[in-house]
Amino acid sequence: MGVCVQVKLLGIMMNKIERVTDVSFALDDGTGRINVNRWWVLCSLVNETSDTNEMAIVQNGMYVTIRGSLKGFQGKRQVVAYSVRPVIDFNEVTLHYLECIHVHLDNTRPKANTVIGTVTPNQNDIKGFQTPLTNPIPGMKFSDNEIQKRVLDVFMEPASLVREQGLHIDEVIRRLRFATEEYHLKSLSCRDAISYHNDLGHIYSTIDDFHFKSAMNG
Amino acid sequence: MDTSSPAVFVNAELLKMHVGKRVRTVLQVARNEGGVMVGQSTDGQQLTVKGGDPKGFALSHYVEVIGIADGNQSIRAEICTDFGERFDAVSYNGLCQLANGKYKNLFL
Repeated sequence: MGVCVQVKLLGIMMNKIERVTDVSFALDDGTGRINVNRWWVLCSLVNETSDTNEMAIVQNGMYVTIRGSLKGFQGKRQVVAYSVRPVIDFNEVTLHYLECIHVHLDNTRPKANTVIGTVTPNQNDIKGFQTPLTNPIPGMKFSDNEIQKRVLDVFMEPASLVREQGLHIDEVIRRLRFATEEYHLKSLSCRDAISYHNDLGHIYSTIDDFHFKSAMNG
Repeated sequence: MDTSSPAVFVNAELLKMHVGKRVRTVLQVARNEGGVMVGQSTDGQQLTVKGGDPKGFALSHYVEVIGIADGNQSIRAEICTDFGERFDAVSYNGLCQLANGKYKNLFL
């Protein structure tokens, strides 16, 4: 698999093995088992010292939530995790599987074929479970509206909705640049779009002035 | 990735359809009778669980049981996990129905 897919999994930790360089274990979520690796260097780079003992807390038989990248190696799938957290509230177990159904439904729903560059301002590919955007502001340039729509789409993704502290501005900019280079999205436009959605109450700031979360769902 | 032995989400009603197979359910502990746990399923019926954790779980706690369905109302446990006192049994029961109905292919 050439594409790196970000995933969130929840299940019971099994066969945990601690090595000098990494910790590996199998995650059993009831539908199957997948091997997971957590590299120590990632722990120290991403989380500094606060979470270096993250892997010491979690033990075999415990329910854990992991976030990481899905990789394929020699035909076998595995996850390289950047976060492994114990499940404290077990309603999260129910929620996780309901989310899986939700994401599956969203991925398989029929989507309108929007050809890039010929989208009209009113033809928003807004997901069925979202509240539609307000009418375009008179005099607004087409590209601004498109950027605003794409910014909101990022906040409305299921993976974004479940994050308690929402998304950092830089993350939104990074993701939009990657996905839509043809629009030459400038970070300034993205910041304007985030500010626009914040003013209208579509999103709200969470832990600081740089993190935002959708107010419409979740 | 090994998907050879999935555990099906069940309540008491669905358990009957999976006798002999690996299942997972949540029950609220009513009593412990010498290594056998008796509890109420998320759809309000009585289930018995053999094996699992010999120390037993606190009464009225919700416990998740993963094991083999060995009867219409009984499970031979492999893994039991204490889900605590505050657990939404109604939502879990809804999940059991979805996982055995329209979205069965996602879970098996």
